[in-house]
Amino acid sequence: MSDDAPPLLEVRDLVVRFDVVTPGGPWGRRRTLTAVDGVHVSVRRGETLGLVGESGCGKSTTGRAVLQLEKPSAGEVIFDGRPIHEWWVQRWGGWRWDHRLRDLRRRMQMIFQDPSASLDPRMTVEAILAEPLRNFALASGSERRGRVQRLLEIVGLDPRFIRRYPHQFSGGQRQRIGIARALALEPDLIVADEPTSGLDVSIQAQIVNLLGRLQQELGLTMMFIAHDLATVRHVSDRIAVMHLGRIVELAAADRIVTAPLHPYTQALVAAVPVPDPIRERARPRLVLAGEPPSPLDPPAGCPFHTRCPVREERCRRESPPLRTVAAGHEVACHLVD
Amino acid sequence: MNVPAASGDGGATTLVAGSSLWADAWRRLRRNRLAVASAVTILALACACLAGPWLIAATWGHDEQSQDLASGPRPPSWEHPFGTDFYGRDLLVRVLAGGRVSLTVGLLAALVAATIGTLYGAVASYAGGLIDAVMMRAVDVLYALPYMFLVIILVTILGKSLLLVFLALGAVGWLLTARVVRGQVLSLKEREFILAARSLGTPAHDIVLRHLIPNVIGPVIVTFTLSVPSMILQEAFLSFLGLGIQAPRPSLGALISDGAGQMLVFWWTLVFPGGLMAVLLFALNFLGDGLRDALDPRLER
Repeated sequence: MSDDAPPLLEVRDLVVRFDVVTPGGPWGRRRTLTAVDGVHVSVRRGETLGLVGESGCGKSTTGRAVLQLEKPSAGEVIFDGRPIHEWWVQRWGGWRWDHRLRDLRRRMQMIFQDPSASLDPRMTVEAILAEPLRNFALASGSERRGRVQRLLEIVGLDPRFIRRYPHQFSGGQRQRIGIARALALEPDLIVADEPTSGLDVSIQAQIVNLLGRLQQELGLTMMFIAHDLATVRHVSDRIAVMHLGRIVELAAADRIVTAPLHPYTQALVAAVPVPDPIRERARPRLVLAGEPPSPLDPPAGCPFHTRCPVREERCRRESPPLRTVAAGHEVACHLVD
Repeated sequence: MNVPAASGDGGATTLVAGSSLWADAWRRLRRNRLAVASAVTILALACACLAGPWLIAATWGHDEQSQDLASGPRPPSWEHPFGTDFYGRDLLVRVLAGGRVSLTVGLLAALVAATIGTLYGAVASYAGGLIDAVMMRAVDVLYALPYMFLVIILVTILGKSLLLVFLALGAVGWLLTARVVRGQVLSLKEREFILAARSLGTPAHDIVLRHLIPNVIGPVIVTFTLSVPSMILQEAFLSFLGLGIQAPRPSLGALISDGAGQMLVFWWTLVFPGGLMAVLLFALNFLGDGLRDALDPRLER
């Protein structure tokens, strides 16, 4: 798995914090929510990195901070050798984008979770897909319609539908429009933020297959965010498992699924149903007890110890660092040698 | 993956028409009988006010300013359906011409107000932070000043003319629209499609013009329709005070003002301009309500 070429994307100790004001006006308490707490990961050119974890673990925020849609509170994001997290400017009482970040949009794009929220309801499909082309003056008026129709064909939609509005499409078709929009600028990196979680199971497979095919045909580098391993394992080369803002395990996709080391990953793997009723019934169950801890009030020591089935005394005190246990396999757990 | 092949006949394919949110709103509006009746009434009255004075001048030979001191004031008759006023001027022509002035002032002032207010509110809200705070405090200060007082000062300083009346009304009337739009944009800019637009590299002015304003245009149209009657009333009030339209030109406000002084003797001089005003205001309000319901899809079952 060694690769001498520098990675397309390097994320170093990324931290994203939000100020949360509890209700109560002047008496409300101002607290800090650490959504992403020191994520360290890199994505090589042409690779798909899966990012899994339960709701609220900070995986979407990680994706947005990587694309600088959210300003990182600390840490570094190096895209193609350039430290893009430094490209924010403070002006008029808020953080705003430098023009270099705007120019960078051509090279990194996002596929959003809910296509009915991420497509402007007042725009036709043609206007939606022409928007990125217009932003970067990539095609003149007459050329643009052709480009838009070509994009629709790439994602498997009828190019005659360009006059339609998002609400006239099904959920799966809308997500295809979202994918076409992300592809319009021919980016190097695509962050797909749970692109299938709002869809029917039968449609999920279609979208995952579409993404896998596009990834191969167009040589995309992708960060695929999802909350279930079953979706991610099909498209990913490597998988990073996130828990409470941190990566707890990172390895090749098949290793994560066949030989998980972290107890949290083991629980995630055990949660994937096997499509064979006899084996499914015989399979050992590993169900986590309790709620995930709140990122507003994270537990001391290992953030997973409150629910960990194999916790020890020192897990309550020390937080385990992410360390390499085998070639290309990193785990953050005291109990793994 | 089954990817449908490219549309066989290349560029000559017929495009499938979409039903826009506008088409849906239009469909809902058409189902609202009161709103449709109001729209028809407004159109009919507007046509009458536009063409009426000219037709009457061509047929009977008197316009809104031709006096006949010997034949006034007379009650309604076949020759003068609305009667004549103190100077023997035909009241029907004067009411229609006055309605034309009132409608023009109302529409133009409301249009000025809606345009300024929408741009101002959207920019303030999307920029956020310090810009928003400064811009909206300016609105608060203007809002705190007595509205009519401001218009009266403007009209007194700048002189009395039709153009100035609606400019003054519009320049003060945008405050409400700005607040409405700012509130809408505040919730709109947290929606994911705005984040998506930013991630596509859409510059801020395009986000305001192409995403935010089209999505707030519903509430703006409603505010606009409901502010036309209020603008007409303001103009009437100004004319009533003698600051608006100057005699001998008629406006509904000036006519009502004249009529109110003699309503016990020459009732028709108040009833006809007052009646037209009332009908216009009702119709505009009903249409505004209808538009609000039609443009807000959440209300649809």
